[in-house]
Amino acid sequence: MTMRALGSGPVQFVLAVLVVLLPLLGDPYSVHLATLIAAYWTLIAGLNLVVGFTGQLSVGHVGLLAVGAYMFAILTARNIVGPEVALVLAGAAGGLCGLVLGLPSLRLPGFYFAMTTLAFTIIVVELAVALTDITGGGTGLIVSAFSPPMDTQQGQYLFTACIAGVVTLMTVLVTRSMWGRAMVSVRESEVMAASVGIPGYRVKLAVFTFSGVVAGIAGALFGALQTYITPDTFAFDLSLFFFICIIIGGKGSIMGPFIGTVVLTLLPEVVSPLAKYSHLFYGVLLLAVVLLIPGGLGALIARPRARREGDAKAGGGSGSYYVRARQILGLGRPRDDLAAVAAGQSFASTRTLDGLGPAVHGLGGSVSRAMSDGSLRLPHPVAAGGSLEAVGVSRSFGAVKALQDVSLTVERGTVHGLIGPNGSGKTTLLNILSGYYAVDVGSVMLDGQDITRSPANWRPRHGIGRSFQTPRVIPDLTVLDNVMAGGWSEARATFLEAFVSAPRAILDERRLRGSALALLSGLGLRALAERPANAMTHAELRFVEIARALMHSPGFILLDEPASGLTDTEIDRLGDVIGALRRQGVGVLLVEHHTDLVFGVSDVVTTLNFGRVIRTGTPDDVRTDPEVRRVYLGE
Amino acid sequence: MCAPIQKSGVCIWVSDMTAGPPLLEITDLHVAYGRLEVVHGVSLTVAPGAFTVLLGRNGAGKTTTLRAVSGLIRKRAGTVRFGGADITRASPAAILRDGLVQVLDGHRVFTSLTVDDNLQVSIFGSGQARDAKTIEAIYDSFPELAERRWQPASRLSGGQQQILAVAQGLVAKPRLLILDEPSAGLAPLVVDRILKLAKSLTEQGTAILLVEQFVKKALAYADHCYILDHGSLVGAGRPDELQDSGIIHRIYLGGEPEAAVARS
Repeated sequence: MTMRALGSGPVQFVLAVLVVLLPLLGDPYSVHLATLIAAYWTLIAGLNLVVGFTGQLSVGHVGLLAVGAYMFAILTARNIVGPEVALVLAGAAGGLCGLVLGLPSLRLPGFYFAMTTLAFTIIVVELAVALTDITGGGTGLIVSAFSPPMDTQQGQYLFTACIAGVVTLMTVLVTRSMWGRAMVSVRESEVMAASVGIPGYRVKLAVFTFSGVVAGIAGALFGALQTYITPDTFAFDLSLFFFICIIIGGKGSIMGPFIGTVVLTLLPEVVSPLAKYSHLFYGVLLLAVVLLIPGGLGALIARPRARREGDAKAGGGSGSYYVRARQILGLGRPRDDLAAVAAGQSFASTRTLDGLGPAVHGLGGSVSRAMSDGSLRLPHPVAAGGSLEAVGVSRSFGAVKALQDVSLTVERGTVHGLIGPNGSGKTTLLNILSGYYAVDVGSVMLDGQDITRSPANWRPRHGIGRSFQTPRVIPDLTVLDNVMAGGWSEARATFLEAFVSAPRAILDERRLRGSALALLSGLGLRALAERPANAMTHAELRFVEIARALMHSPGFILLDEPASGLTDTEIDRLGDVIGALRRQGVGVLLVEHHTDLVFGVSDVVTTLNFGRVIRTGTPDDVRTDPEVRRVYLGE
Repeated sequence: MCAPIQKSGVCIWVSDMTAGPPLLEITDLHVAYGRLEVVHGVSLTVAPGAFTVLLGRNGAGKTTTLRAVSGLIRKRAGTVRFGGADITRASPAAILRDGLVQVLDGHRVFTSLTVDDNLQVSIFGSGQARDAKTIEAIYDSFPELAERRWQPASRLSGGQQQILAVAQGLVAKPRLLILDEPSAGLAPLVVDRILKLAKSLTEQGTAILLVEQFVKKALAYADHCYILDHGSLVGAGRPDELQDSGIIHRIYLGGEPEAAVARS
């Protein structure tokens, strides 16, 4: 099997090269079309990170394309710089515009962001019309060719295809890094992303700026191909075209949008009598994809592949040239391949079918044994001593006083139970401690320092982790990837390093994978690591969420009703996990209604009622308190 | 235990209600997600006015079964009859109007609507006439909702949203109320209140089908109980029968359910 895997690697690579060379055999028109596809794809590859991975609906990339094209045309026409330098400057201009556009607009919710990008495109085109002296106005500009040997049609095609190839490779690499996981986290839920320390705005801005750079470069390549540009060249239709290529390709895929680009560029040309119906055609195709293959073309091509990958992996091809080549081509290994997100579904189905027993029994026995061995270990030891405190905190929502002058101290190495009737303010307090709500009055102190004003994504990076009442995971990703998403603050590689798979980015991946697998083993979930999160039971997701929060070795973990929906056996195991964390010096705040669990594992229990503390004390004191019995426990 | 039923002027006597035709009858139900079948031929019945409990570990297929019954997910095979009529292919809306109401798990309410509108929507969906008394009765039962009546449900805590979800099921005046883990996120006192309320509904003729992880509490109220494991029924009977057989203990402690058949 290994032989076959290695043997087929070079074959596939050669095939890919042949596909790139194929248009050169055709007539000049086919070379022109292939160059056009390569230029479009350069832009779409970057836009795909924005739309398909980060989930930001930009419909304004034609504006960035125009910026790049005009930059290139103006610089070369006046002989200010050579065409190759102009190409780089076009990318820089695109990136700068992306940054300036993204700075205010990425703070806006989805729909408003899309409108802003649309407005940007209109402004760029209007400026191109108005600034006649520079842009030639409505009559447009002639665009110079590249220097020899890229000035021939074939040379230009190969040059454009090479750039497209490099950009594709960069996007493949970045989606496999911690940054890729961060993008998908932001797409799925910014609240969840913040809970593991991922700064959503920064991630969106970085990705959008990158897409601006490649859109600028694509603009130069596109302009050079067209030889002549006017404001009409950059019609809004083109933006929709880019967008549709990605939607048809499927979210979280790279191969899918690529095929979408090729198909949508070629079809109106191949069936040229129908060219005037191209919009109708786009519409029908879009409907067909949405209705018939909701995962997009990416899901369609990934399906049969996922099964074969299972074989290849069993053959120990990991790390081989074969696997590397597949990664480069964006074909990837499903288990860590964000590009094959959609594959996870069917991959999982086949895997879970024959492995249903272990999946259901994932928590059966192994967890409790693991606990008694004390094998649940945080990736790094936690500093001893110190506390997380709410001091005199009040918070109102409209007329409702959710919290009134509440003080509570969680010491490291202890479990602090928080109980109270529904609506008594428990989750509100947890949200204040984790930075999701601001206080009206009072402060939050971490080891004596005032952190009241620090944002939600700052707190995980400084040792405060949390879980959610309803588990928030990325359904398409594997359990392992979900847990690794918790390692943001442990990753060292910068955005740029992730693009070139710099040594630090590779080290990060290796380290995070090791930590995540160790945590999953400690929780008895090792067998589930490669399965997609959407195949997990409710109870398993609860533990996956805890594993994710432990990735950054938090000094404090805030658990919001972790036992809700668990069976008694699973609650016992949860108790073991909490005990193991306590022994390792973690301070646990446990919001919970399963009073047996709370009184069983807590060192201190606080009871809230109508936003006020009515009793804080040892479990025995609180359990026997008449007021607590009256408002909460019952007789 | 006989009850007279007035029918076209003739008084006929119907023997023990539980011995009559069942209100809900599920026969050989199979449900699959894609190619993965998760419910393998489940058959169960709920008698009119009975308090029936469905138990099983997480991932056993309880929620999937219930959702298939309400028409929320497609059934691969099998039939579901409700009140004598075949509802296997009926739409969720039609099933609801027929009087089979389900409170889904995970406090699902319309967060942008007010508490009052959430209740009104539920009455509307069930096809009942608007009746101020129904809603007032709910506010009497749940004073915590009355206080928040005009606030959007997004302002409620998770537990209060769960109470609202149960209240939505109640105002629909169901013939059969399916409750999927109604206790999740609720304070102990409230759990007792809701289970007692459900029990009092059965006394007024509404049947209850309950999925619950508070096994002991659920069994205390149940007339009849089913146990699911790995998508198949592994036990059925009166609560005392099942407890005597030890099957519940074995299921929840991860034993081999196949070895512990206690069918009745």
